[in-house]
Amino acid sequence: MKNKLLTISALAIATAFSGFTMADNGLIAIITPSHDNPFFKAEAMGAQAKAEELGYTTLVASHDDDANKQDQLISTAIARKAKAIILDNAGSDVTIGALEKAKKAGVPAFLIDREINKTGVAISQIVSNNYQGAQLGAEKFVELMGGEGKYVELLGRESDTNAHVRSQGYHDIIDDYTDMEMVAQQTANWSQPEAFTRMESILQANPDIKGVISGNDTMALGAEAALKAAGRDDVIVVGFDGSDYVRDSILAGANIKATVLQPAWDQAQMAMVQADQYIRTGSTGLDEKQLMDCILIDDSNAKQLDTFAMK
Amino acid sequence: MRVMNLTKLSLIPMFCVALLGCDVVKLDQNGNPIIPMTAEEAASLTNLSPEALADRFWADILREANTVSKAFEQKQVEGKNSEFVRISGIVEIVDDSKKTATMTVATGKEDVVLQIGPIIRGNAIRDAASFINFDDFKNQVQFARLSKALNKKAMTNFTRPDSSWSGSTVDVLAAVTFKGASVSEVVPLEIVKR
Repeated sequence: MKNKLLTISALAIATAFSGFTMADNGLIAIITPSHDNPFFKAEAMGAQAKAEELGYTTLVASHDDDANKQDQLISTAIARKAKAIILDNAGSDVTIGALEKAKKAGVPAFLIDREINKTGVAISQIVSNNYQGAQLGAEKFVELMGGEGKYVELLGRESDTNAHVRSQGYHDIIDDYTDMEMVAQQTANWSQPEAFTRMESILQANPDIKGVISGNDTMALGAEAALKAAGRDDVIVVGFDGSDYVRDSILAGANIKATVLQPAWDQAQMAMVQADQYIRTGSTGLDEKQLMDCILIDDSNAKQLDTFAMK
Repeated sequence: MRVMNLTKLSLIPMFCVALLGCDVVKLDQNGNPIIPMTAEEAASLTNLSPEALADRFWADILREANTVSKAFEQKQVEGKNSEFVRISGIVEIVDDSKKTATMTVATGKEDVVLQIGPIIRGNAIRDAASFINFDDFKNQVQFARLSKALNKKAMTNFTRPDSSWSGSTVDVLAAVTFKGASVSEVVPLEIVKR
Protein backbone atom coordinates (compact mmCIF):
# COMPACT_ATOMS: atom_id res chain seq x y z
CA MET A 1 0.00 0.00 0.00
CA LYS A 2 2.77 2.32 1.01
CA ASN A 3 4.67 1.50 -2.14
CA LYS A 4 1.60 2.11 -4.26
CA LEU A 5 1.12 5.52 -2.64
CA LEU A 6 4.74 6.36 -3.17
CA THR A 7 4.54 5.19 -6.77
CA ILE A 8 1.45 7.28 -7.40
CA SER A 9 3.02 10.34 -5.77
CA ALA A 10 6.20 9.80 -7.69
CA LEU A 11 4.23 9.44 -10.88
CA ALA A 12 2.22 12.53 -10.10
CA ILE A 13 5.33 14.59 -9.48
CA ALA A 14 7.01 13.18 -12.56
CA THR A 15 4.00 14.05 -14.70
CA ALA A 16 3.78 17.52 -13.26
CA PHE A 17 7.48 18.03 -13.87
CA SER A 18 7.48 16.64 -17.37
CA GLY A 19 4.33 18.65 -18.00
CA PHE A 20 6.30 21.70 -16.95
CA THR A 21 9.26 20.95 -19.17
CA MET A 22 7.01 19.95 -22.07
CA ALA A 23 5.33 23.36 -21.74
CA ASP A 24 8.61 25.18 -22.30
CA ASN A 25 9.14 25.41 -26.03
CA GLY A 26 11.63 28.17 -25.49
CA LEU A 27 11.78 31.88 -24.80
CA ILE A 28 9.94 34.55 -26.73
CA ALA A 29 11.09 38.15 -26.33
CA ILE A 30 8.24 40.66 -26.59
CA ILE A 31 9.48 44.22 -27.05
CA THR A 32 7.22 47.25 -27.49
CA PRO A 33 7.08 50.96 -26.72
CA SER A 34 6.18 51.96 -23.17
CA HIS A 35 3.10 50.37 -21.61
CA ASP A 36 2.05 53.82 -20.40
CA ASN A 37 0.07 53.85 -23.61
CA PRO A 38 -2.61 51.15 -23.20
CA PHE A 39 -2.26 50.32 -26.86
CA PHE A 40 1.27 48.99 -26.42
CA LYS A 41 0.31 47.26 -23.22
CA ALA A 42 -2.48 45.46 -25.06
CA GLU A 43 0.00 44.36 -27.73
CA ALA A 44 2.42 42.98 -25.19
CA MET A 45 -0.33 41.20 -23.24
CA GLY A 46 -1.82 39.76 -26.43
CA ALA A 47 1.51 38.37 -27.58
CA GLN A 48 2.31 37.05 -24.13
CA ALA A 49 -1.06 35.31 -23.78
CA LYS A 50 -0.66 33.55 -27.12
CA ALA A 51 2.97 32.65 -26.45
CA GLU A 52 2.09 31.04 -23.14
CA GLU A 53 -0.88 29.28 -24.71
CA LEU A 54 1.51 27.78 -27.24
CA GLY A 55 3.87 26.61 -24.53
CA TYR A 56 6.59 29.27 -24.54
CA THR A 57 8.02 31.35 -21.73
CA THR A 58 8.24 35.06 -22.27
CA LEU A 59 10.39 38.10 -21.62
CA VAL A 60 8.37 41.31 -21.89
CA ALA A 61 10.16 44.66 -22.12
CA SER A 62 9.77 48.25 -23.37
CA HIS A 63 12.26 50.20 -25.45
CA ASP A 64 10.55 53.52 -24.66
CA ASP A 65 11.02 54.60 -28.29
CA ASP A 66 14.76 54.80 -27.70
CA ALA A 67 16.87 53.18 -30.44
CA ASN A 68 19.74 52.44 -28.07
CA LYS A 69 17.51 50.80 -25.52
CA GLN A 70 15.93 48.78 -28.30
CA ASP A 71 19.40 47.66 -29.40
CA GLN A 72 20.21 46.51 -25.86
CA LEU A 73 16.95 44.60 -25.53
CA ILE A 74 17.48 42.82 -28.82
CA SER A 75 21.02 41.92 -27.77
CA THR A 76 19.61 40.55 -24.51
CA ALA A 77 17.12 38.43 -26.43
CA ILE A 78 19.95 37.04 -28.54
CA ALA A 79 22.10 36.35 -25.47
CA ARG A 80 19.20 34.58 -23.78
CA LYS A 81 18.85 32.41 -26.90
CA ALA A 82 15.29 33.52 -27.55
CA LYS A 83 13.40 31.44 -30.11
CA ALA A 84 11.85 34.58 -31.57
CA ILE A 85 11.43 38.31 -31.05
CA ILE A 86 8.04 39.97 -31.30
CA LEU A 87 8.71 43.65 -31.83
CA ASP A 88 6.84 46.94 -32.18
CA ASN A 89 9.87 48.93 -33.18
CA ALA A 90 11.46 52.25 -32.24
CA GLY A 91 12.18 53.57 -35.73
CA SER A 92 11.73 52.37 -39.31
CA ASP A 93 15.37 52.97 -40.23
CA VAL A 94 17.24 52.69 -36.92
CA THR A 95 15.79 49.25 -36.21
CA ILE A 96 17.23 47.63 -39.32
CA GLY A 97 20.75 47.21 -37.93
CA ALA A 98 19.64 45.56 -34.71
CA LEU A 99 17.44 43.13 -36.59
CA GLU A 100 20.24 42.24 -38.97
CA LYS A 101 22.24 41.27 -35.88
CA ALA A 102 19.38 39.10 -34.64
CA LYS A 103 19.00 37.47 -38.03
CA LYS A 104 22.71 36.65 -38.09
CA ALA A 105 22.41 35.13 -34.62
CA GLY A 106 19.56 32.95 -35.80
CA VAL A 107 16.80 34.71 -33.88
CA PRO A 108 13.82 35.39 -36.16
CA ALA A 109 11.91 38.63 -35.73
CA PHE A 110 8.17 39.22 -36.13
CA LEU A 111 7.24 42.87 -36.32
CA ILE A 112 3.88 44.28 -35.38
CA ASP A 113 2.17 47.65 -35.80
CA ARG A 114 5.10 49.68 -37.21
CA GLU A 115 7.02 48.65 -40.28
CA ILE A 116 10.69 49.05 -41.13
CA ASN A 117 11.95 50.38 -44.45
CA LYS A 118 13.57 47.14 -45.55
CA THR A 119 12.40 43.64 -46.34
CA GLY A 120 14.41 40.45 -45.87
CA VAL A 121 15.48 41.27 -42.32
CA ALA A 122 12.39 40.31 -40.34
CA ILE A 123 10.33 37.19 -41.10
CA SER A 124 6.97 38.91 -40.80
CA GLN A 125 5.92 42.52 -40.68
CA ILE A 126 2.31 42.65 -39.57
CA VAL A 127 1.84 46.31 -40.16
CA SER A 128 -1.09 48.40 -39.05
CA ASN A 129 -2.51 50.01 -42.11
CA ASN A 130 -2.27 53.43 -40.55
CA TYR A 131 -2.79 55.14 -43.86
CA GLN A 132 -6.03 53.25 -44.50
CA GLY A 133 -7.11 53.85 -40.91
CA ALA A 134 -6.41 57.55 -41.26
CA GLN A 135 -8.44 57.62 -44.47
CA LEU A 136 -11.37 56.04 -42.59
CA GLY A 137 -11.09 58.55 -39.76
CA ALA A 138 -10.84 61.43 -42.20
CA GLU A 139 -13.85 60.25 -44.19
CA LYS A 140 -15.89 60.19 -40.98
CA PHE A 141 -14.49 63.58 -39.99
CA VAL A 142 -15.49 65.08 -43.36
CA GLU A 143 -18.95 63.60 -42.94
CA LEU A 144 -19.31 65.03 -39.42
CA MET A 145 -18.11 68.41 -40.67
CA GLY A 146 -20.61 68.37 -43.53
CA GLY A 147 -17.69 68.66 -45.94
CA GLU A 148 -16.92 72.23 -45.01
CA GLY A 149 -15.64 74.49 -42.23
CA LYS A 150 -12.59 75.32 -40.19
CA TYR A 151 -10.70 72.58 -38.43
CA VAL A 152 -7.58 71.88 -36.42
CA GLU A 153 -5.13 69.00 -36.75
CA LEU A 154 -3.11 67.69 -33.83
CA LEU A 155 -0.02 65.79 -34.90
CA GLY A 156 1.85 63.04 -33.08
CA ARG A 157 5.50 63.01 -32.15
CA GLU A 158 7.66 64.21 -35.05
CA SER A 159 10.10 61.30 -34.77
CA ASP A 160 7.36 58.67 -35.02
CA THR A 161 6.65 57.49 -38.56
CA ASN A 162 3.04 56.90 -37.67
CA ALA A 163 2.54 60.58 -36.90
CA HIS A 164 3.42 61.37 -40.50
CA VAL A 165 1.61 58.41 -42.03
CA ARG A 166 -1.64 59.32 -40.29
CA SER A 167 -1.39 62.99 -41.18
CA GLN A 168 -0.77 62.06 -44.80
CA GLY A 169 -3.73 59.70 -44.72
CA TYR A 170 -5.93 62.44 -43.26
CA HIS A 171 -4.95 64.93 -45.92
CA ASP A 172 -5.30 62.31 -48.66
CA ILE A 173 -9.02 62.55 -47.96
CA ILE A 174 -9.62 66.01 -46.48
CA ASP A 175 -7.65 68.03 -49.02
CA ASP A 176 -10.04 66.92 -51.77
CA TYR A 177 -12.70 68.98 -49.99
CA THR A 178 -11.82 72.53 -50.87
CA ASP A 179 -14.40 73.97 -48.45
CA MET A 180 -12.58 72.49 -45.46
CA GLU A 181 -9.99 74.85 -44.03
CA MET A 182 -7.20 73.83 -41.67
CA VAL A 183 -6.60 76.83 -39.41
CA ALA A 184 -4.00 75.20 -37.18
CA GLN A 185 -1.75 72.13 -37.34
CA GLN A 186 0.39 71.51 -34.30
CA THR A 187 2.10 68.64 -32.61
CA ALA A 188 1.09 67.60 -29.12
CA ASN A 189 3.62 64.76 -29.09
CA TRP A 190 1.03 62.05 -28.41
CA SER A 191 0.51 63.62 -24.98
CA GLN A 192 -2.84 64.26 -23.32
CA PRO A 193 -1.80 67.24 -21.16
CA GLU A 194 0.12 68.78 -24.03
CA ALA A 195 -2.91 68.44 -26.30
CA PHE A 196 -4.99 70.17 -23.61
CA THR A 197 -2.65 73.18 -23.53
CA ARG A 198 -2.36 73.40 -27.32
CA MET A 199 -6.13 73.15 -27.75
CA GLU A 200 -6.68 75.93 -25.23
CA SER A 201 -4.49 78.40 -27.12
CA ILE A 202 -5.68 77.30 -30.56
CA LEU A 203 -9.28 77.77 -29.47
CA GLN A 204 -8.57 81.29 -28.21
CA ALA A 205 -6.97 82.23 -31.53
CA ASN A 206 -9.61 80.43 -33.63
CA PRO A 207 -12.97 80.43 -31.86
CA ASP A 208 -14.86 79.60 -35.07
CA ILE A 209 -13.54 76.06 -35.54
CA LYS A 210 -15.98 73.20 -36.10
CA GLY A 211 -13.75 70.19 -35.60
CA VAL A 212 -10.47 68.70 -34.45
CA ILE A 213 -8.77 65.73 -36.04
CA SER A 214 -6.15 64.12 -33.87
CA GLY A 215 -3.25 61.78 -34.63
CA ASN A 216 -4.17 59.59 -31.68
CA ASP A 217 -6.66 59.05 -28.87
CA THR A 218 -4.65 60.42 -25.97
CA MET A 219 -4.33 63.78 -27.73
CA ALA A 220 -8.01 63.62 -28.69
CA LEU A 221 -8.87 63.23 -25.00
CA GLY A 222 -6.70 66.21 -24.12
CA ALA A 223 -8.35 68.32 -26.80
CA GLU A 224 -11.80 67.22 -25.62
CA ALA A 225 -11.02 68.26 -22.07
CA ALA A 226 -9.98 71.72 -23.25
CA LEU A 227 -13.11 72.07 -25.36
CA LYS A 228 -15.29 71.00 -22.42
CA ALA A 229 -13.56 73.50 -20.13
CA ALA A 230 -14.32 76.23 -22.67
CA GLY A 231 -17.94 75.11 -22.90
CA ARG A 232 -17.59 74.11 -26.53
CA ASP A 233 -19.80 70.99 -26.95
CA ASP A 234 -20.29 71.96 -30.57
CA VAL A 235 -16.75 71.13 -31.71
CA ILE A 236 -16.36 67.53 -32.91
CA VAL A 237 -13.24 65.49 -32.40
CA VAL A 238 -11.94 62.39 -34.19
CA GLY A 239 -9.07 60.32 -32.77
CA PHE A 240 -7.04 57.23 -33.68
CA ASP A 241 -6.17 54.00 -31.83
CA GLY A 242 -9.41 52.69 -30.40
CA SER A 243 -8.83 53.19 -26.69
CA ASP A 244 -11.43 52.34 -24.05
CA TYR A 245 -11.48 55.96 -22.81
CA VAL A 246 -12.40 57.25 -26.23
CA ARG A 247 -14.98 54.52 -26.58
CA ASP A 248 -16.57 55.78 -23.38
CA SER A 249 -16.52 59.33 -24.73
CA ILE A 250 -18.26 58.28 -27.93
CA LEU A 251 -20.92 56.36 -26.01
CA ALA A 252 -21.44 59.32 -23.68
CA GLY A 253 -22.07 61.60 -26.65
CA ALA A 254 -19.17 63.91 -25.80
CA ASN A 255 -16.99 65.84 -28.26
CA ILE A 256 -15.17 62.77 -29.54
CA LYS A 257 -17.40 61.16 -32.16
CA ALA A 258 -15.14 58.56 -33.66
CA THR A 259 -11.81 56.85 -33.58
CA VAL A 260 -9.99 54.23 -35.60
CA LEU A 261 -9.16 50.88 -34.09
CA GLN A 262 -5.83 49.31 -34.75
CA PRO A 263 -6.47 45.69 -33.80
CA ALA A 264 -3.47 45.58 -31.46
CA TRP A 265 -4.46 42.43 -29.62
CA ASP A 266 -5.18 40.46 -32.80
CA GLN A 267 -2.00 41.63 -34.49
CA ALA A 268 0.15 40.59 -31.56
CA GLN A 269 -1.53 37.21 -31.41
CA MET A 270 -1.11 36.76 -35.17
CA ALA A 271 2.58 37.53 -34.86
CA MET A 272 2.97 34.89 -32.17
CA VAL A 273 1.11 32.29 -34.23
CA GLN A 274 3.38 33.02 -37.19
CA ALA A 275 6.45 32.86 -34.95
CA ASP A 276 5.36 29.47 -33.65
CA GLN A 277 4.72 28.24 -37.19
CA TYR A 278 8.16 29.43 -38.23
CA ILE A 279 9.89 27.88 -35.21
CA ARG A 280 8.27 24.52 -35.84
CA THR A 281 8.39 24.37 -39.63
CA GLY A 282 10.94 26.92 -40.81
CA SER A 283 8.38 29.05 -42.63
CA THR A 284 5.20 31.04 -42.04
CA GLY A 285 3.78 30.29 -45.48
CA LEU A 286 2.95 33.98 -45.88
CA ASP A 287 4.40 37.13 -47.44
CA GLU A 288 6.68 39.09 -45.14
CA LYS A 289 4.71 42.31 -45.22
CA GLN A 290 1.09 41.98 -44.20
CA LEU A 291 -1.07 45.06 -43.98
CA MET A 292 -3.70 44.81 -41.29
CA ASP A 293 -6.64 47.05 -41.88
CA CYS A 294 -7.97 49.34 -39.19
CA ILE A 295 -11.63 49.64 -38.25
CA LEU A 296 -13.67 52.80 -37.86
CA ILE A 297 -15.28 53.10 -34.43
CA ASP A 298 -18.26 55.38 -33.96
CA ASP A 299 -21.50 55.23 -32.01
CA SER A 300 -22.70 52.36 -34.20
CA ASN A 301 -20.11 49.89 -32.95
CA ALA A 302 -18.28 51.46 -29.99
CA LYS A 303 -20.08 49.13 -27.58
CA GLN A 304 -18.19 46.16 -29.02
CA LEU A 305 -14.78 47.70 -28.44
CA ASP A 306 -12.72 46.45 -25.52
CA THR A 307 -8.96 46.56 -24.97
CA PHE A 308 -8.19 47.21 -28.61
CA ALA A 309 -10.30 44.39 -29.97
CA MET A 310 -13.84 43.99 -31.17
CA LYS A 311 -15.80 41.56 -29.05
CA MET B 1 -1.28 34.20 -54.37
CA ARG B 2 1.77 35.62 -56.24
CA VAL B 3 1.14 35.19 -59.99
CA MET B 4 3.37 37.36 -62.07
CA ASN B 5 6.55 39.14 -61.27
CA LEU B 6 6.60 42.80 -62.30
CA THR B 7 10.03 42.43 -63.84
CA LYS B 8 8.84 39.68 -66.17
CA LEU B 9 6.02 41.89 -67.37
CA SER B 10 8.40 44.77 -68.04
CA LEU B 11 10.56 42.49 -70.17
CA ILE B 12 7.65 41.46 -72.42
CA PRO B 13 7.41 44.81 -74.22
CA MET B 14 11.23 44.82 -74.48
CA PHE B 15 11.21 41.47 -76.27
CA CYS B 16 8.35 42.40 -78.55
CA VAL B 17 9.96 45.61 -79.70
CA ALA B 18 13.38 43.94 -80.11
CA LEU B 19 11.82 41.35 -82.42
CA LEU B 20 10.54 44.16 -84.64
CA GLY B 21 14.10 45.33 -85.06
CA CYS B 22 13.46 48.76 -83.55
CA ASP B 23 15.93 50.86 -81.60
CA VAL B 24 15.14 49.79 -78.07
CA VAL B 25 18.41 49.95 -76.22
CA LYS B 26 19.37 53.39 -74.96
CA LEU B 27 22.98 54.51 -74.86
CA ASP B 28 24.67 56.26 -71.95
CA GLN B 29 27.16 59.15 -72.12
CA ASN B 30 29.97 56.80 -73.13
CA GLY B 31 27.96 55.27 -75.93
CA ASN B 32 27.51 51.99 -74.06
CA PRO B 33 24.13 50.28 -74.19
CA ILE B 34 22.05 50.58 -71.01
CA ILE B 35 20.46 47.22 -70.42
CA PRO B 36 17.90 47.43 -67.59
CA MET B 37 18.75 44.85 -64.94
CA THR B 38 16.17 42.97 -62.90
CA ALA B 39 17.65 43.89 -59.55
CA GLU B 40 17.85 47.53 -60.47
CA GLU B 41 14.31 47.51 -61.70
CA ALA B 42 13.06 46.17 -58.39
CA ALA B 43 15.19 48.54 -56.37
CA SER B 44 14.02 51.57 -58.31
CA LEU B 45 10.34 50.94 -57.54
CA THR B 46 10.83 52.08 -53.99
CA ASN B 47 12.08 55.46 -55.16
CA LEU B 48 9.43 56.31 -57.69
CA SER B 49 6.70 58.85 -57.10
CA PRO B 50 3.12 57.57 -57.00
CA GLU B 51 2.35 59.21 -60.36
CA ALA B 52 5.42 57.65 -61.98
CA LEU B 53 4.46 54.25 -60.57
CA ALA B 54 0.88 54.60 -61.84
CA ASP B 55 2.19 55.56 -65.28
CA ARG B 56 4.53 52.60 -65.28
CA PHE B 57 1.85 50.08 -64.26
CA TRP B 58 -1.09 51.43 -66.23
CA ALA B 59 -0.62 49.59 -69.53
CA ASP B 60 -0.06 46.29 -67.73
CA ILE B 61 -3.11 46.87 -65.57
CA LEU B 62 -5.35 47.45 -68.59
CA ARG B 63 -3.83 44.45 -70.32
CA GLU B 64 -4.40 42.19 -67.33
CA ALA B 65 -7.90 43.58 -66.76
CA ASN B 66 -8.88 42.92 -70.38
CA THR B 67 -7.41 39.42 -70.27
CA VAL B 68 -8.63 38.06 -66.94
CA SER B 69 -11.88 39.91 -66.27
CA LYS B 70 -15.03 37.87 -65.94
CA ALA B 71 -18.65 38.93 -65.83
CA PHE B 72 -19.47 40.52 -62.48
CA GLU B 73 -21.21 38.28 -60.01
CA GLN B 74 -22.10 39.09 -56.43
CA LYS B 75 -20.37 36.58 -54.19
CA GLN B 76 -19.16 35.74 -50.71
CA VAL B 77 -15.47 35.97 -49.87
CA GLU B 78 -13.50 35.39 -46.72
CA GLY B 79 -12.11 38.73 -45.67
CA LYS B 80 -11.31 40.92 -48.64
CA ASN B 81 -10.68 40.14 -52.28
CA SER B 82 -10.24 42.35 -55.35
CA GLU B 83 -10.58 41.44 -58.99
CA PHE B 84 -11.13 42.78 -62.51
CA VAL B 85 -14.67 42.36 -63.80
CA ARG B 86 -16.95 43.28 -66.69
CA ILE B 87 -20.26 44.90 -65.88
CA SER B 88 -22.95 45.31 -68.51
CA GLY B 89 -26.39 46.70 -67.93
CA ILE B 90 -28.71 49.66 -67.91
CA VAL B 91 -27.84 52.86 -66.11
CA GLU B 92 -30.43 53.41 -63.39
CA ILE B 93 -29.12 56.61 -61.90
CA VAL B 94 -26.12 58.90 -61.96
CA ASP B 95 -25.80 60.63 -58.60
CA ASP B 96 -23.69 63.76 -58.94
CA SER B 97 -24.83 65.37 -55.71
CA LYS B 98 -21.55 64.72 -53.91
CA LYS B 99 -17.90 64.69 -54.87
CA THR B 100 -18.01 60.94 -54.30
CA ALA B 101 -20.38 60.64 -57.27
CA THR B 102 -21.77 57.28 -58.34
CA MET B 103 -23.48 55.54 -61.23
CA THR B 104 -25.82 52.63 -60.52
CA VAL B 105 -26.04 49.95 -63.21
CA ALA B 106 -28.72 47.25 -63.27
CA THR B 107 -27.18 44.11 -64.72
CA GLY B 108 -30.36 42.07 -64.61
CA LYS B 109 -29.08 40.02 -61.70
CA GLU B 110 -28.03 42.80 -59.34
CA ASP B 111 -27.54 46.55 -59.08
CA VAL B 112 -23.92 47.64 -59.05
CA VAL B 113 -22.86 51.04 -57.73
CA LEU B 114 -19.74 52.40 -59.46
CA GLN B 115 -17.63 55.34 -58.29
CA ILE B 116 -17.20 57.91 -61.06
CA GLY B 117 -15.26 60.64 -59.28
CA PRO B 118 -13.94 63.30 -58.87
CA ILE B 119 -13.30 61.65 -55.53
CA ILE B 120 -12.75 57.91 -55.83
CA ARG B 121 -12.07 55.88 -52.71
CA GLY B 122 -10.39 52.58 -52.04
CA ASN B 123 -7.74 50.35 -53.53
CA ALA B 124 -9.67 48.15 -55.94
CA ILE B 125 -7.40 48.74 -58.95
CA ARG B 126 -4.15 48.30 -57.05
CA ASP B 127 -5.36 45.20 -55.23
CA ALA B 128 -6.85 43.56 -58.32
CA ALA B 129 -3.54 43.77 -60.19
CA SER B 130 -1.75 40.50 -59.53
CA PHE B 131 1.71 41.94 -60.04
CA ILE B 132 1.48 44.75 -57.49
CA ASN B 133 2.64 43.49 -54.08
CA PHE B 134 3.19 45.39 -50.87
CA ASP B 135 6.52 43.61 -50.42
CA ASP B 136 7.96 45.48 -53.41
CA PHE B 137 7.27 48.92 -52.00
CA LYS B 138 9.11 51.01 -49.48
CA ASN B 139 6.27 51.44 -47.02
CA GLN B 140 2.51 51.71 -46.67
CA VAL B 141 2.50 55.39 -47.60
CA GLN B 142 4.00 54.77 -51.02
CA PHE B 143 1.72 51.76 -51.44
CA ALA B 144 -1.35 53.79 -50.49
CA ARG B 145 -0.49 56.77 -52.66
CA LEU B 146 -0.04 54.46 -55.63
CA SER B 147 -3.68 53.54 -55.17
CA LYS B 148 -4.80 57.15 -55.30
CA ALA B 149 -2.64 57.74 -58.38
CA LEU B 150 -4.21 54.71 -60.08
CA ASN B 151 -7.69 55.99 -59.27
CA LYS B 152 -6.75 59.33 -60.82
CA LYS B 153 -5.43 57.55 -63.91
CA ALA B 154 -8.69 55.65 -64.20
CA MET B 155 -10.58 58.95 -64.16
CA THR B 156 -8.59 60.18 -67.14
CA ASN B 157 -9.27 56.88 -68.89
CA PHE B 158 -13.01 56.35 -68.60
CA THR B 159 -15.69 58.52 -70.15
CA ARG B 160 -17.44 60.19 -67.25
CA PRO B 161 -21.18 59.53 -67.21
CA ASP B 162 -23.73 62.21 -66.45
CA SER B 163 -27.47 62.23 -65.72
CA SER B 164 -28.29 62.03 -69.44
CA TRP B 165 -26.98 58.44 -69.42
CA SER B 166 -29.95 57.27 -67.39
CA GLY B 167 -31.65 54.45 -69.30
CA SER B 168 -28.67 53.82 -71.57
CA THR B 169 -26.86 50.51 -71.80
CA VAL B 170 -23.22 50.49 -70.71
CA ASP B 171 -20.30 48.09 -70.79
CA VAL B 172 -17.77 48.66 -68.04
CA LEU B 173 -14.34 47.22 -67.36
CA ALA B 174 -13.79 47.67 -63.64
CA ALA B 175 -11.87 46.69 -60.53
CA VAL B 176 -14.00 45.45 -57.66
CA THR B 177 -13.29 44.81 -54.00
CA PHE B 178 -15.47 42.18 -52.37
CA LYS B 179 -15.69 42.22 -48.60
CA GLY B 180 -17.51 39.38 -46.86
CA ALA B 181 -20.89 39.10 -48.49
CA SER B 182 -20.91 42.46 -50.24
CA VAL B 183 -19.08 44.74 -52.61
CA SER B 184 -17.16 47.54 -50.94
CA GLU B 185 -15.73 49.35 -53.98
CA VAL B 186 -16.26 49.34 -57.73
CA VAL B 187 -13.85 51.49 -59.75
CA PRO B 188 -14.27 51.74 -63.53
CA LEU B 189 -11.28 51.53 -65.86
CA GLU B 190 -13.22 51.85 -69.13
CA ILE B 191 -16.85 52.82 -69.70
CA VAL B 192 -18.55 52.41 -73.06
CA LYS B 193 -22.06 53.65 -73.71
CA ARG B 194 -23.79 51.62 -76.36
